[in-house]
Amino acid sequence: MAESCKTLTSEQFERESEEARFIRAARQDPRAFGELYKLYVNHVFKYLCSRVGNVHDAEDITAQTFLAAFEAFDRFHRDGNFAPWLFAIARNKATDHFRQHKNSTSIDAAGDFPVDSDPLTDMIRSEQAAALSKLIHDLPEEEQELLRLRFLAGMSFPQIALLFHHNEDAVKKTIYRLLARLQSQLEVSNE
Amino acid sequence: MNNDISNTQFEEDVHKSFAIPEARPEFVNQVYKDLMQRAAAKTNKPRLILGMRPAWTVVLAVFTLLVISTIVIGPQKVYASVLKLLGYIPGVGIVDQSSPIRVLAEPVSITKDGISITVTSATLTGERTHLDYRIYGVPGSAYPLSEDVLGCSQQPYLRLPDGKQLTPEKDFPPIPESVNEAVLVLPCIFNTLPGTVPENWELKLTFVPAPPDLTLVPVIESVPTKTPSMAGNTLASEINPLVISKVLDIEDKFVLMGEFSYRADKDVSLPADSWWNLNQVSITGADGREVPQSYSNDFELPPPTNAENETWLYQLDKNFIPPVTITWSGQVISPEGSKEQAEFEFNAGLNPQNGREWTINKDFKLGGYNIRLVSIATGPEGYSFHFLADPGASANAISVNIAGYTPNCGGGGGGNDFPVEFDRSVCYANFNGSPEFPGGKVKIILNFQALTRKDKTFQVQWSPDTTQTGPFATSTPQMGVCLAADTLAQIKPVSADLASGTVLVYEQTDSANHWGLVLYNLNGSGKRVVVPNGNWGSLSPDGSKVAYSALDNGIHVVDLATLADKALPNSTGYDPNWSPDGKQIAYIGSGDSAISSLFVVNADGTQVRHVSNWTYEAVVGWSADSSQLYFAAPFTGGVAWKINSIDLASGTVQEHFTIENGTPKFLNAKLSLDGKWIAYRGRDNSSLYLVHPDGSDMHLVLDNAGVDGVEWSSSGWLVASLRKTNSDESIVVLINPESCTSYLLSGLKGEVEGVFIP
Repeated sequence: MAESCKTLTSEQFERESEEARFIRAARQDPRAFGELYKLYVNHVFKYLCSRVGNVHDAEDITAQTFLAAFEAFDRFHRDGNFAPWLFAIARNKATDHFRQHKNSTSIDAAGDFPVDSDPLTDMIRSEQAAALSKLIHDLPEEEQELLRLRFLAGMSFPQIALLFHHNEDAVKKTIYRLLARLQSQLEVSNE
Repeated sequence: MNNDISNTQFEEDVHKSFAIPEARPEFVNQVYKDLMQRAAAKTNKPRLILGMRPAWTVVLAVFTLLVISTIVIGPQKVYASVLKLLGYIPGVGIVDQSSPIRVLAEPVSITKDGISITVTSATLTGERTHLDYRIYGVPGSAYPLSEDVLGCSQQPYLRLPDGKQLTPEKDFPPIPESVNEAVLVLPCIFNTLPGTVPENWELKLTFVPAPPDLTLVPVIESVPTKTPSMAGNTLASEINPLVISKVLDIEDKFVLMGEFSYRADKDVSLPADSWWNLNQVSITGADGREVPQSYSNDFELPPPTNAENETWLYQLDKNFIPPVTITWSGQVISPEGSKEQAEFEFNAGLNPQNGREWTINKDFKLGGYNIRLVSIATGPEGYSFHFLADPGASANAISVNIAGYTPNCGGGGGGNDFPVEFDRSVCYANFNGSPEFPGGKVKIILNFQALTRKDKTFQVQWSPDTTQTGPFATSTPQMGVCLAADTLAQIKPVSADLASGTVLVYEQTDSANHWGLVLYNLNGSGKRVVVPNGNWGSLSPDGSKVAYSALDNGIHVVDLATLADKALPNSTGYDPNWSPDGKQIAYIGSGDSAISSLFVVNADGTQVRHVSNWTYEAVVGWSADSSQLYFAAPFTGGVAWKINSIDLASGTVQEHFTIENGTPKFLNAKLSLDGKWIAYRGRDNSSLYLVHPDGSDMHLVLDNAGVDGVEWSSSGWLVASLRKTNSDESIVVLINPESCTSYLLSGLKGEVEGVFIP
């Protein structure tokens, strides 16, 4: 009863998601930002890894993203929707990275995974996954970005809609149609 | 959310095809450590130390206070000692005087592509460097389309002559006494999108010793050695958890800081899992009158003695009769008996869509109460359940969940109102994208837990040094101030000759916690709910119509004679304002590259026009001939507002003046219908100022009175709703700002949205 009672009763504990509680806690005590970090670090890293194409830069930009978010947190005034705000920072940091490394990396090249990092060589990729990876890599950048945000950043449709200022239904439809197209293309390539 | 698609193996394949590894634990831990170090630095600010600044006049003032304090404060006093003598600079805060204070030699400005950055002032002490700078002229198109998207977030920094960089937290770190020059570097303008405006700004700053006339208010900081135990419903032997930990004595104010350590879940006299719910804070003087309090960002709260303790700060004007009593009133809420459950099956279909509603009308008996589930509706992230129950049922814990799914929010209720009709929401589409919210045939579970509620109050009393009590009881009203917090109780009810007017207020409209727009006569009679569920009302100049922003964000117009509600097609936004001729409505909407900018539509819904491309604007009002529209736009680099007008025929924008002392939160600037005055809320979020549209004769009219809603009548009366301390309710007053004649509009408790006095 003890645990359920807490989740059932107090307004503080009942209505707010874990994230909202962390946000409020971080406003009181900056150390609580660490919980938001733990919640999102893997998603941000994976997203950036896909964008920039190597683990080293992805780690660097992930760190920059969270440090920038920490410093700017006083200006984040909502109790929810932290993900669109955080990923907006991550996207900007990635853009900064490409602007600063024009000669060494490009957005187009970033899709060339796997690269030279050890963890990646450990990945076992099926033949079908490789084909799918190629299909995704051949998509326009905007469509790749939608898939990254959905499947690597783990963002919900409403969050992606917020990030792009699109209607949520439009985002859903775009992704579903994209998936359907990829699936049919994959079936064709397997035949 | 479409489960058929989202949960397919194919999506899993897409995920895997990216072949991205997990983040390395070593990396994750390293960044976490870095963040925690920064968090610790933010939390533990360097403490101030005793010292004097060189300006001899201030030294004299501080020394005088020191002598007085030493004489009057003895070992028997509750407040033992003066620990520190400090200086206070309004807008800068408490400053350390142990090393010479320096300031900016002269303002420094740079302009590129029509954008100016000006450093207006600097205050350098031994412990920090405070800079004020403003950024002007950034086009709206340089910013993201929504507040949810952050543009450039690279921090500014100070570069010293030796190349060392100082990055700010709240302020910049101190600059060594031997260094009198630095360069302020802004890699970009905060929140602008890459490539939209010039970047890499550098402003060379020169610092000089502070002039003798620098406003530096002496501050006495004291630490109470004991706090009288006055906890209501608490044994005398218990330690009072409401503690004053520091007091600052600053000219005409006291700043009381403290902490609160009570934890109901650790109170052995209560059932397990009890909790404390704070309802109200009141501060009263010895005469029983409420002492107005305000918050200020100028002061650093001392860290709590325990991380779980709540810290607080109250700033009090010295016009009370001591001692003051701070009272925290609330309830201890405890579970009683065992939890009860009821369940039933519900088929939402395989692909439940947002906006769907099912009528259920299923009855349950839980905790002895009859509880009817009236309907279920879907929202963007989950389900909402609407209940009708016996009185008192909703004072207990009633929640809903769906078997087999873990919600990420909602489920329960809360608050202090216990209506017979209530809703419970539960959402599933979480921030990490999964799981999707449930569809198909699901098992709904109703949970009920009886609760007991016991009122509990905590009090702490504080009295300043007795030799200073005399002057506190008398306050000298500021010139031009019509009302202040301590004179509100003296206002008389509205006179009969004015009672025929009407006031539109925003308030709760039913027991289900809906809020909308309600019309009253000036004497509080004739209540008419105009809009049961809507916001941002505006009464037409002839008092016959109300424009408002509906729940769907559309601008609607209600005819008060028939209550016919008409949505204006293609007009979405908020803050509607009628033109004086009643033919047009200005509002704030979003479109093209600008968000929160000015739109105008004819009152019949035709000819929607986007009239400016600035961002984050607020409507101030119309010129008397309906040709010009006044609006406020915030400065990007500071907390000031620029008042502009736009000629609707030519589109020409004219800058009028800058409001420097307005609140950055909700300025609520309103132009009087005769075009003579602009009323706006002050930086304390509580006072009201008036200023002519050319920026002249700015003066305070309502001092720390809790101002929220502000409206003008065509005859020049100003109506303001004044929020009660720690309450959702307001009092509403009618003021003639020229004569200060004021009336109380008895019976009105909402936020003023419009007024009509024939």
